Amino acid sequence: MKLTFYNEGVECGFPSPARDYTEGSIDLNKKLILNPNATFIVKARGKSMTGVGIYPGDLIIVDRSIKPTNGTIVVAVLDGELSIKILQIKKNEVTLLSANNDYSSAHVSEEMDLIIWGVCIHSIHKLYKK
Amino acid sequence: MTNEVFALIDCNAFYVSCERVFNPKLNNKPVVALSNNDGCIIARSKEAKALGIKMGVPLFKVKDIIRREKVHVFSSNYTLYGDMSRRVMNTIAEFTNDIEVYSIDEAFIGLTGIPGDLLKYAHKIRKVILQYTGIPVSIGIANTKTLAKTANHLAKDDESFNGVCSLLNLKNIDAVLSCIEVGEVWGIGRQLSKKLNMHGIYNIKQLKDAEDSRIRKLMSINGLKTVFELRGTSCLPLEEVRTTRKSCCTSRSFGQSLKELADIQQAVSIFARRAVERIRKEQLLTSSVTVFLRTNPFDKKNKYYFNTTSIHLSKPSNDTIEVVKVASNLTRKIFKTGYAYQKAGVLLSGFYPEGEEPVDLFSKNSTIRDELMVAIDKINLRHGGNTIKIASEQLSGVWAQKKENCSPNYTTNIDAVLNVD
Repeated sequence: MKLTFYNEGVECGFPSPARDYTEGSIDLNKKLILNPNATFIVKARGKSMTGVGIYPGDLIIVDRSIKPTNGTIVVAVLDGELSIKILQIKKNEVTLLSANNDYSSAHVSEEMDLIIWGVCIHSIHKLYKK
Repeated sequence: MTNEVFALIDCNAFYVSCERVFNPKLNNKPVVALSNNDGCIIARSKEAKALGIKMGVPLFKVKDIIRREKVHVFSSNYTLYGDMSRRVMNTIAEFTNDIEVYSIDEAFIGLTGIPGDLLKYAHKIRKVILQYTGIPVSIGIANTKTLAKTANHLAKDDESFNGVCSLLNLKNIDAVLSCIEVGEVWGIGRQLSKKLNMHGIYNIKQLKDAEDSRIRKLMSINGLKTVFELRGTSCLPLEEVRTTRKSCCTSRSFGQSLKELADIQQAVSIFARRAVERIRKEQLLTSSVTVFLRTNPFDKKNKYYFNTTSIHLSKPSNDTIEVVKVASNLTRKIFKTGYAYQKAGVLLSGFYPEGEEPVDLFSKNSTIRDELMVAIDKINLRHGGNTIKIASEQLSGVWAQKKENCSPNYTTNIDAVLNVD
């Protein structure tokens, strides 16, 4: 997507003298994606993460190259099941937290198989529906 | 003795691995991917291999095992695999510019002169590719490309290597090479390996130690290069720039056999358009168009028919309309009624780079057509490959391919991305 961005307001009538000062265009890919080879887009489905502003239907930009640390929002694969959760690492205990009191969190025990698929870096939420 | 060092990075069961990235439930389960038209098995997970499913077998031959063992089956999704391949190759290119992308799932890299522990370095590359893309790879390191390929084979075969195997500074390399069949050597196909077996050469060590004169008799000049490479002398440098192609072929099996000329012409028109689009992208002009068609050679009830015909274009062209017309006429020439056709194809060859083609005094120059082709390519690139077609290809769908279990285009279509709870 490309948006042309002007420094000055757009005037009617004569061509704006500001036209000479355009700075190209805003490239949202550049702004939202840090490492294109490792970045994937997924769609949020449930309501378990509304507390951090992730709603059903939002597009989530996931960067696999970022190291998941305590407090990051991640796409986790717990025993083969994909979900978006907050990663909590306390001492040696790993928990996948939901951001909605109606949903439970999951303590990851040793016999469970946890893979962090990637780190969520942006959520794109639609505000206007046509 | 050479000091060059090469590594071959090869994705493990690539198509299966691509599917697993977006479907982690399939980890540790038997999974296979099928060739075009759901014909044969062309990728198998470790678990599917263990069930005895062989590479290249037709799907119908293993239907029973698949049902009994609940093997997950995927139609090939080349859009997805192509995008994942691009990610893997770009990730490798972050480590080095010395890269030869050898196929959709393999790349050679040059490691000559890289200081430090190469095994460690390779493990790092492997880890980063897996993290960034989710695709597991195996890496073979050696002094020649042929030996790197062999090392890669070892890395895949023996899990104790953890995905990286180096044949550098190996004292008992002969002991290792005597355990691997000649058929596993890069560039030695089934026919040649049969021939070598007949002459008492079964494993790589025997091939490596054979006299040059004997090799020259049994194999071509390229065969001698292969043997030199097995001895550790590098003869095949990295090909960073692919040599220009010599021909371009588009052919497919039909979803169901076709009997009508019109249906086959329609399919051939599409093949012709795709082939022309491809060469136009590479700024080539074709001077020879070949069309072939055949019935199913395995069908014992009906008579087999195969035919092919070519035409030389006095004025080399990459004009879709012209080539489609020519291909359609060639199809009419070799078509015979009364047969059930299973496959057709279009082969373009005799290429000239645009602007270097021989001048034809009798044909008029048409820059308007050239501009039209540019416009069509732009529209198809932006709105999807089939937006503008030549009228003769109007899709009736009779011949369209079987693709019964194809995954969504997770990485290239915003409406098909993975849903996560």
